[in-house]
Order: sequence, then structure tokens, then C-alpha cells
Amino acid sequence: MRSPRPVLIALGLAVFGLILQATLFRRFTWLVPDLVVLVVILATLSLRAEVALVIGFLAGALFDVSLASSVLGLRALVYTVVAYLAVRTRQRADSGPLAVGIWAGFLSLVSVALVVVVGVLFGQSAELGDAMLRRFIEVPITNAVCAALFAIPVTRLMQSGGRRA
Amino acid sequence: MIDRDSRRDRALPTFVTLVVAAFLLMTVDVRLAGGSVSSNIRSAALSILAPLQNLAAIVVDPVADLGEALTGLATLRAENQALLAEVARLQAEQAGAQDLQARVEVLEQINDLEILDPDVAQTPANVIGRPDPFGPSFVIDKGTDDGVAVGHPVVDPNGYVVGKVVETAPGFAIVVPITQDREAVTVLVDGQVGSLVSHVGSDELTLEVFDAIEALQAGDLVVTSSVSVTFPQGLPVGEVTADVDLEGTAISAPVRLFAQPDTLRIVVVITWPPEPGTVETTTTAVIPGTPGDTTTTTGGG
Repeated sequence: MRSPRPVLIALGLAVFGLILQATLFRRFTWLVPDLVVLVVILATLSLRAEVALVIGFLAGALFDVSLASSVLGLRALVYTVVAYLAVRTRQRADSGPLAVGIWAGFLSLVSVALVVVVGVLFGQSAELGDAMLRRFIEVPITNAVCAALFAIPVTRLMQSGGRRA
Repeated sequence: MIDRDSRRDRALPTFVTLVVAAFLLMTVDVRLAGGSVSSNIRSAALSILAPLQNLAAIVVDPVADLGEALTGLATLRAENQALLAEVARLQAEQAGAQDLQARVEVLEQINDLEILDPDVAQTPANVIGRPDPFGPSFVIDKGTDDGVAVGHPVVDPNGYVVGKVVETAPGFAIVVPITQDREAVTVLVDGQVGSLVSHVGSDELTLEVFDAIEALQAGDLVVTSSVSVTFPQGLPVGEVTADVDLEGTAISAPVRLFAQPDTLRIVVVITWPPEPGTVETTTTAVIPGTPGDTTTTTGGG
């Protein structure tokens, strides 16, 4: 039987990312990461594909319930799709921190785009606000930098409780 | 041990299942329009997450304050000079305002109005979290334990309208600003009743008056109306930002909100409508300090 520890660590990191995002990063208008999707992306580097997908779904659902103004399931859907894309392309991130950064930045851009598109389809018009352009630029760049810096410690932390099957 | 190819085969069914589950979740949430099930889920999640956010805010805020202070050190001297000049100007204005205050009190007595504050509970709360940095909602550290309920109006420390409570948990609540609220606010401007509607994702509001009797001018004060079912009468909301002429009997004017929901650290939740029996049935008005202009309010409830 496989240890559930990596899964718990990944979920714990998602909660930690959400709290950090809601408290620390709300104070810095120039630094806007989406730490939850970043955890989901980095989880695919160390977890089995189907487990990483479930982590994406649960982390997204967690984000949804913490936002009263968001439709339930929006980010659960988007983060699941992003996790799937990450699983399918994770071998591209094998060549070092720079590659991980670019890969995570691109997937974060996909995540932002999907939140806007699916959100608007489900009546979340606030996603089209004045900050939409900023969201498209700042989130992927900040996530790319964070991924380049923290991918190795985060994946080691997740692998510490078990290895990818 | 499972080889890589068979694992890939299992990833696709898992993916499809989760996507279908997410779509179902969204559809149910949209169809039920945030019904009791989703409300209970959010409330439960808030009960778990908000204490953690509160704890994090206690640790993070002093550090962030220090960082902000250090980065702003160079401009502090110039800011100090400007603030001293501002204090002198405000002291002069205050002297004039005291005269206006006395006149307002006389008018309130004549029109059988009274200040709402003594009877209506006001709960100050700290803004402890904003999960989506680009999103409108924020979390406050007061909830049902403190008498905060869904629908309660929220104002900033100056008394300017911010929004309303949309979700509650025992020690926490979520607030959505009126700039992102689909429900229009009934307001009074220059003696005319209108609706203040939000725009798609924008911080600007539009005032719609359908039975207008006169044109509006930039700087006209917008306050909540006595016919509003969401907010107490007389709360300052914002000001008209452009001169607008009558179009038949209708007027549509842009309005700037006085409160700045994005940067708020403290808010005040108003227990309104008050609990039955706690307030005598009289026509009431809240007239906090308004920025500059005098407020004209109509009587009646």
C-alpha cells in the first residue's frame, strides 16, 4: 500500500499557498502569484498522474469555497485541466530550474486564460475586470519565478513521503 | 509495478471523471444560485480557513508593515509636510462643519429624523484575507458569533458604503463590495432617487435615474436612499464624476465610490435591518461625516 504522505503534503502546501496568498501577497500589488495552481503544477513532478489530477481538483475546489464571489467548481475544473496538461508535458521540465520556470509560467498562463473563459461562460463577469490584463501578465511571470526558485525543494518535500509509482 | 503507459491510460479516465464532476458542481451551484448546500459548504470551509488566515495575518501584517515603511522612508518627509498642511486645512473646514452640523440637527428635529447609530449595532472588523488578489471579495474576522449575518451592510471607518456580507461562519464572514454586486443599490442624489448599478469587473458605478427632474453635476453627493432595502438611509456612497444632462426624464451618470475596497484594513458591519424590538419604529437616518458637500435626504421609510 502506497503512503498517503505525499498527497497530504501536496494538499497542505495548497492550503498554505492559499493562506499566504490571502494574507501576505494581498499587501504587495506588484507581486501576484497563484500559489495554489503552482502547487498543483509542481505536484505533477513528484506524484502519480491520477493522484496529481485529484490534487488539482481538490485544491481548485478549496480555492472556490474560499471565494464567495466565485462559482463552485470553476477552479476545480481549471486546475484539473492544468494538472492534466502538466502531467502530459512534465518531461519538458526535466532540464533544470529555468525549464521548470518557463513550463510553470506557461501552465499558469493557461490557468488564467481558462479561469477567465470558463468563468465568463458561467456568468462570472468579474473575471473580465480592469485587472484582467494584469492577471494575464503578472500571475504567469510571478509563478515562473517562484517555480524556478522553489521547484526543487517542493518536489523533494513531496517525494520525502514516497516516490512516484 | 505499473508501467508508464498503463499509468497514462488511467490518467485520462480520471481526468474525464474529474472534469465531469467539476462541471456538475458548477451547474448545480449556478442553478441553485448559491443555495443552502453551497452556502453550507462555503461556511464550513470558511470556519476552517479563516482562523488560519487570521493567524497568518497576525504574523504577516507587522512584517509587511515594516517592509512598506522601509520602502516608503524616502518619501515620508515630503508626505509629512503635505499632511501638516492638510491638517491645517481640515481644521479650518471643521470649524465650518460644526456650524453645518448644528443646522443638520435642527433640520432632523423638524423632519422627525434621528441618527441611527445609538440603536443599531456596529461591529468593527479587520480584513484578514483576500484569497484572489484580483477578486472583489474579502474575509473579515467577525461572524455570526458577533451578530454578523448575510446581507448586513458594510462601511469603511469613515462611514462610506463598501458592500455587504455574503457568507458567514461563527467567527468570520465574506464581504463583496457594491462595485461587484449584481444587486443595484437604491440611492439619493440631489433629491432624486436612482439605482446605482455595477459594471462588469469595473470599479466604476453608474447611476440610473428614471424620474429625473434636473441635471446632475460633477461632485454631486450620492447617498443611500430611504427606499433602499439593503442599506440604511443616508450613508455616503460616492460622487458623480461628470456633468450629465437630462435625456427626457432619465439620467445616467458615472459615479466614483468613496470607499476603496481594495486597500481596506478595517471595516464596520452594520446590523441592519435591526433586530425586531431593538429599535422603535421611527423614520431614521444615518448621516456620518460627508466629504465636503451637504447631504439632502428625504424623509419617509
